[in-house]
Amino acid sequence: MDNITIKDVRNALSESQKEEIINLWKSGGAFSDMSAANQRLKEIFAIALDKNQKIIAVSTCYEDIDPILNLKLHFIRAFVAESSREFKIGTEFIVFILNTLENEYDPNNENLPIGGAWVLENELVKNNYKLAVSRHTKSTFYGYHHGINPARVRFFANSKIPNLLTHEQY
Amino acid sequence: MSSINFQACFNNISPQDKLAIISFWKNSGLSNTLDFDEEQRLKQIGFIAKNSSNEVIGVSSYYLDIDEYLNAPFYYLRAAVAKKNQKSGIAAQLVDKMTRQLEKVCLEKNDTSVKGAVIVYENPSLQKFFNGAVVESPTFYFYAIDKKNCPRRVHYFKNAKIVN
Repeated sequence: MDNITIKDVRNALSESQKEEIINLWKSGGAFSDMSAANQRLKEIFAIALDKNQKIIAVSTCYEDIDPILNLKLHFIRAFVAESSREFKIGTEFIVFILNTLENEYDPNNENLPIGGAWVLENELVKNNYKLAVSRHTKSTFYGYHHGINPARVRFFANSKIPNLLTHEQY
Repeated sequence: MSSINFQACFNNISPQDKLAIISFWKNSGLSNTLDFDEEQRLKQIGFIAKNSSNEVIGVSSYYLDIDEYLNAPFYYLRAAVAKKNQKSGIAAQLVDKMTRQLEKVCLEKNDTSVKGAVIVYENPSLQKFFNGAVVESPTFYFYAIDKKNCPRRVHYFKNAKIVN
């Protein structure tokens, strides 16, 4: 991770950076439908820059109700240029985003997501995340999305389960 | 709490303690309301708590099962405390001691098949009191509301690996 900088760019991307990100996604085949990429641009949370200030990775974050926990969580995704995948930037994005969001979290505001989650879809990445508890990301495994993709969560400090749901609601 | 004695059992219970435990279950109404097999449950006991008069005032037990949400084997923990001793932290201590002992045994045996311990709060008051997403000592993480509408929390044993 030497010479790589992770930067919070929420609502702060320049037009040229947006174009650079679209090109990064295109070159990596991230989207078959580029209209989805335009939507994803709105969710960008952080970028990783190399020593030449070139964008080599992008992470996005959005709020959603988790289908397993039935709780509102932040969901984090990352895309890393193939040439930079050995640097474990994806993991560093997760740590960066979770730390940032946890600092902003107010346990008294029940409308806020109570943690951050991510779902492992790539087989290689799944093999790198076998420990049920990760000390580095301070996250734990909590189930499988779609029955096959392991999902992990870090609950923010002092977060509460908002209410007890009926099984029908669950 | 200073006069409470916690005693490890783990399938090693004296005949006197067996009678005391059965009596505790009957007096607290558990064996009537829950309709369980006493002999079977005695084999599952982890710790008992006794007061200064050597009376059993709390019992913790465990059994092994596959968790349907986490898709792996876990110890399921239970704790019961005499009504007059509730809200005194005895149940939490029983769970704490039993979890640590079960984890210790798995680590000593290098048994990685059991991934951790699960606790299900069935009591509505406890559900409201322990509403943190993460409950400490040892650390239990919320992971599901089960089919009985009870929140489940899991403590993973050290270096537990998930099944892909």
